[in-house]
Amino acid sequence: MLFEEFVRTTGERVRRALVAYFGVEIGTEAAAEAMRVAWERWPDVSSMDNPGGFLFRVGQSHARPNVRWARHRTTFPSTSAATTQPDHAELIDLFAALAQLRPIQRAALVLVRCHGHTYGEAATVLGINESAVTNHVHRGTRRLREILEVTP
Amino acid sequence: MTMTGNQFDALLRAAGDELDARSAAHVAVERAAEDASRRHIAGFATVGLVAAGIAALVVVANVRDGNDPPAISPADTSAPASTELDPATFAGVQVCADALAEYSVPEQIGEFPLPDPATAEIRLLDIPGQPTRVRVLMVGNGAIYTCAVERGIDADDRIVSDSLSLAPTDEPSDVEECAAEPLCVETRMLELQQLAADWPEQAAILADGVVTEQEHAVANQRFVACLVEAGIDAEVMGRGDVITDGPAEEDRTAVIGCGVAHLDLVDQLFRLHDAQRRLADG
Repeated sequence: MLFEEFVRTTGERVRRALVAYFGVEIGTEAAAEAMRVAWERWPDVSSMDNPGGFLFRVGQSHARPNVRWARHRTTFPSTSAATTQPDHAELIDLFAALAQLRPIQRAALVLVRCHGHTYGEAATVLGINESAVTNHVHRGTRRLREILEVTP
Repeated sequence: MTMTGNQFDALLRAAGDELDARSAAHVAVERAAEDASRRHIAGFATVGLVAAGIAALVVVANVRDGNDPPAISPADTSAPASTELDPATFAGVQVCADALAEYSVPEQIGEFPLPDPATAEIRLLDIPGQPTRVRVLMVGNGAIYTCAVERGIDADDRIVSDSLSLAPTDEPSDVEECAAEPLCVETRMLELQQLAADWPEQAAILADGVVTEQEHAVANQRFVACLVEAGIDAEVMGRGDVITDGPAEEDRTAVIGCGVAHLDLVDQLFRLHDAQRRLADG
């Protein structure tokens, strides 16, 4: 697989997972760092069984020092207020509800329910098994439905 | 704010688009900042504002579009109980060694013991205020599991959704979730009071138990095996296998933890629950 194609496919899933996990700014920058590592070590990365899972871990390692100071603060969806307020009240409420989920639960739910990735794709990039993704998505969705008062 | 299921689904998709757009906008800002830094142009603030404007122009899907799902009514509990499913048999389930061997489910994971299908006891409980949900408790070998079975029925009594959520009762994330949900806390407290009253030794063990996700997956497998051994027509497809992305009405399958069971399981659990309640009422 060409690197450019890898970035468009696996790279996009890694970015989306990191954004869901850490928020827009830190997640995007962590994804860029992960792609830089992928470029520098492309022969090794391209031969891995699960390069997406590896790069998600790389991104996490890059992001964690940035969020350590804010461990007890919500960084999702954004650490900055400048570009984070959509002109849509329900979307603001949804982001607030998503911020209440655990990061791994939010990442699984966002990948599957918001971006339409399969459970298998989400499990691969997050480095967990499909059953764990299923549980995260199911429980996360249930929680969101309750917070947002979604009728059954 | 109240919304329908279709609106909720559309809102989730809009959130995905919004996150992508914000991420792209952030990349644009970073690149612009790098360019500005290299060229010593003191216009970074303007570039940032332009990028922010791009983000604001993202069109959010109209979540009010789409058809509303049918209204949900409580399950019909007046349906006759199945004659082939006797609640009395639940206390004396049969061992199926082949099934356990096939899935290689260990007797114990770390410090957390797993229910033994040979002696596991299954009890079905009402969940206060939630007529379409049944709480399944299973106890055995010093361990207790809980499973919430939820049924969605439309105005014409058609099943529109079925779901099962399995969890060892001491899983930290469950406790964390419950802490944020008053209704769930109330249910949980009732459940724990019931556990403590009925199985005091097991409840004491649960207080110390902690399971990892890996252990949780295996524990779910054992739970399904116990349901099979209890005579419920649950089909375990294999450890870690999820053959559908979600409950599908077409093939009537439901994802339960790491296993997959036919939705008939839900039918049976609800019928058993009804029969059990009739017996309790005399």
